[in-house]
Amino acid sequence: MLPVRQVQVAGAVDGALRSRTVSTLTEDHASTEEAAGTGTDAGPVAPKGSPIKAHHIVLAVGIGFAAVTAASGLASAFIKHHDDSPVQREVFEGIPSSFKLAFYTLIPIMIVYGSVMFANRVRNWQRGRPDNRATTPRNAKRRMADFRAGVYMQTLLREPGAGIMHSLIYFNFVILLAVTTVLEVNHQLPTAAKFLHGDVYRGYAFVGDLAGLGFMVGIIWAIVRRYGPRRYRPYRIRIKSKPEHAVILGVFAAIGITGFGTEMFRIAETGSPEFERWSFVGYPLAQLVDGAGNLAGWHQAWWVAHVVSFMAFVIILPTTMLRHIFTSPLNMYLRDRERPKGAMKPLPDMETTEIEHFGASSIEDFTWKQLLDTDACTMCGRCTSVCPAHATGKPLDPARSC
Amino acid sequence: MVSDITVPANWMFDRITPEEIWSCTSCKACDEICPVNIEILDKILDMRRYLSLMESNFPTELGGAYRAMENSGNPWSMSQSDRGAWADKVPGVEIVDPGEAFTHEYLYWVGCAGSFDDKNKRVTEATAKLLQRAGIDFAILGPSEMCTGDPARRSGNEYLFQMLAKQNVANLNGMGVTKVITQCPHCFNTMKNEYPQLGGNYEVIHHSQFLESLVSSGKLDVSNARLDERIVYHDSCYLGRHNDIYEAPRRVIGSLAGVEIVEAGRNGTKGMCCGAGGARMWMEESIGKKVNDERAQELIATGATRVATACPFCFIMMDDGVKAAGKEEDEVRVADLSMHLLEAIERGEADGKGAPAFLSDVIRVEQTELSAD
Repeated sequence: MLPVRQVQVAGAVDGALRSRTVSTLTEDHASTEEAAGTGTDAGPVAPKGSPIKAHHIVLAVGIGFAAVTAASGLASAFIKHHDDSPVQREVFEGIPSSFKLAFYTLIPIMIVYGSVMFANRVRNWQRGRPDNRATTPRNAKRRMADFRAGVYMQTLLREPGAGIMHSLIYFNFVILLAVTTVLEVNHQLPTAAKFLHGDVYRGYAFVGDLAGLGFMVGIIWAIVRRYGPRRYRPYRIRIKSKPEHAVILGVFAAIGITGFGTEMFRIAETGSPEFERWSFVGYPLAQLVDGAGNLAGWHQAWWVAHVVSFMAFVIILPTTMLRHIFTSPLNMYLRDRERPKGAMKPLPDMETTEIEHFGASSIEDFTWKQLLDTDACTMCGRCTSVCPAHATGKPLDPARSC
Repeated sequence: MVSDITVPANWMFDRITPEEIWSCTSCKACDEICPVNIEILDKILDMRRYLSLMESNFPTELGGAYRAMENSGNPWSMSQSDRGAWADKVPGVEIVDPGEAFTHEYLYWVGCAGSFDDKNKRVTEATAKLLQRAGIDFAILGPSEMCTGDPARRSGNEYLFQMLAKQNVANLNGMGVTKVITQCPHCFNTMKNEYPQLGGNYEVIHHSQFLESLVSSGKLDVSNARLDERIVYHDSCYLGRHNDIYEAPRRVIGSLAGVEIVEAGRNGTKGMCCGAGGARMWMEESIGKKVNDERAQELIATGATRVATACPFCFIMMDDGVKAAGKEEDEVRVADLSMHLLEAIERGEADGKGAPAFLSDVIRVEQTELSAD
C-alpha cells in the first residue's frame, strides 16, 4: 500500500534529486490550492462540480421510500385480495379506515421530514474542505470489509457488553422491520400468490416474537448499562450520558412495549386462535386480557401508540446520535486507505505557498470527512477512557473534539 | 437552516481550550479504540497547526525547543559537532559526509536523543555494538544528521518541520541512501511515513525489528545469552499504534534465556503512553498527575524487575517515573531493549560458554492478547 504521493514521486524520478523534492511539494501545493478554491463543491458522494450533491441523494432516497409507502396505502384502498386461510392474520384487523388513512398519510410525511433533516446533516458535511476518499479498484475490497465490520458490529464486539447489546437491538430491529415489510408485501399480493398462512404464518409469528423479545432484552440491557446500578455502568458511559440518550432508549422501549401490547390485544380480540400459540410472547399475554371488555378499543389504542412511537423514531433518527445507524458504517467505509496510519496530513510547501490559512479553528477548516466523523460519533466515551491526558487529570477530552 | 448559523472565526477554541489541545501526547489511543474509525487525532493536530502557524499560541517552553531546532538542528540546543561524539566509545563506527556517495548498506539514524541525551547514548552504543557483532555494514551521519522535525510537526509548526525535513531528505537523496535503521520510533515514523510526502523514500527499519531479524536469522548469536529477570515491555505509541509493531520488541526480549515476560494491564493497542509524544517532551506538565508517574506505577505493579523500552522518550520518562516511585535501579531497572539484549549476550560470554539452560528456565511469555486487529 503505497501512499498516493509516493506514486507521484516515482513518476518524477528522472529529474535531479533536488528538483524531485521541489516538484512533489509543488504538486501538494497545487492540489491544496485547488482544494481551497473549490470550497464546498466536493461533497462526499457527488463528484467535483456535479450539480447533484450528496444531500440530494439523501432526499431522493427519502422521497422514494415515502412514495412506496404512500403507493402501498393507495393500492390497498383499491385492490382487495383476500386470503381465506384460517391460519393467518388480517392486516389492519380491527383498525378503522380513518386510522389507516392517517397512517398512510402521516408515515410518508414523516419519512420525507426525516430525509430532509438527514439531508441537512449531509449539507453540513458539504461545508467542509475536500478530502479524497474515492473508492478505487485498489481499495474497494478493503472498503467493503470496513463497511461489513461496521454493519456486523465487529469493532463493537471488542467489548462484549456493548457489542452484544448493540447486536440484540440492531439485528432484531432489522428483523422486525422485515417482519412488517413481509406482512405488507403479502397484503398486496394477489390471493393466489399470498404465502403468509399455515405453517409459514406460524413460523413468521414465532420469528417476529423472538425478534421482539431479543429487542426488548437489548433495550433493557442498554438501559441498565446507562442508568442502572453504578457497577453496571462503565466509566465512559457515566461521563458521557446526555438527555438524548434517554430519549432514544425511551422511544425504543416504547416501540417494543407497544408492539407486544398491540399484538396481545389483537390476539385476544380475535379470540386467541390456537395457531397464535406460535406467537409465544403475545399469546400468553393475550390470555391475561382474554374476555375483558372493549378489546377492540384497547387494540386500537395500542396500535396508535405503536405507530406514534415509530414516528418518534423517524423524528429522532436524523436529529439525535441515532443517526449513527447510517453514519457509522459509512464512516468506516470511508476510512483513509491511502495515508499511512502514522503520517500527518501533508501541507503545501510553506516557503512557496500562497495559502495563508492553516490548521483548523472553525467548522469550515475541517474536511467533509472530518465533519462526517462528528456525526458518526455516539459519545460512547471510549476515546476519553483511554486518553492518557484525561486519565491523569488534564483538561483534554478527545470525545469533545467531535 | 444550516447556512444561517454564524459563529466567530475561531469559536472552536471557546469550546475546546488551547490547554486541552496542548495536553495531547498524540498517542493515538483514541483513534485506535474508536469502534467507528473516527479520526480524532487528526482534528487535534489540525487545531495545533492553527494555534502554532496562525496565532503562535503555543506553550512558551516549546519556543525554546523551536529555536534550538532551527538554530542547532536539535531540540536541546546541543552543538551539532558533538552529535557523533558517542562513537568515540565504540571503535569502528564510521561517520560519513553528506557530500559523498553512500557506500554502506545501512545508514544508522541515531536521532537527537540517542546522540545527546546521556541515558540514550547508552542505547546508541548498545545498538551499534550489536550491529557490529552481527557484522552489519553501517555508518552514521554524525554532525550532518538533524532532527527529523517530528516534534515541530506534531506541535503544528509545519514551517520548521519542512525546513528540517527538506534538508534531511536532500542529504539522504544526494548520498543515495536506501536503507535506514532508527532507534527512535518518532524518527522512524517521520522518515518512513512522512518523508515520502517530501520526496524521501527509504526502507526505514526500527532497531527492534532489525534486532529481531538478526536474532531469528542467527546473525546475532544469543544461544549463550542469559538474563534472569522479570521484564515488562512498555509499548511505544509511535511503534505500536502508529505503525502496528507490537511483536518485534517482545520477540527480541523473549529470545533471551532466563527472561520472564510480563505484561502491564494496558498493553498492545491499549498500551499507555509515557507522556512525551507529540512534542510533550518539551512542554511543562503542570496539570494533574504526571503521565509517566501513572504509567511507571502500572509497570512496577506487574512485579517486573526490569522495564524494556524501545523509544528514547519512553526510556527517559519511564526511568524518571520509576525513580519517582522510589524504586532504585537495582530493584527495577529501566533500559532500552538493545541494552538488555547486549547485557544478556555479554553476561552469557562472561559466564563461560554453552551452559545448558534448565527446563524450568524456558521462557514464559505471558502475552496477553494484543488485539492487533
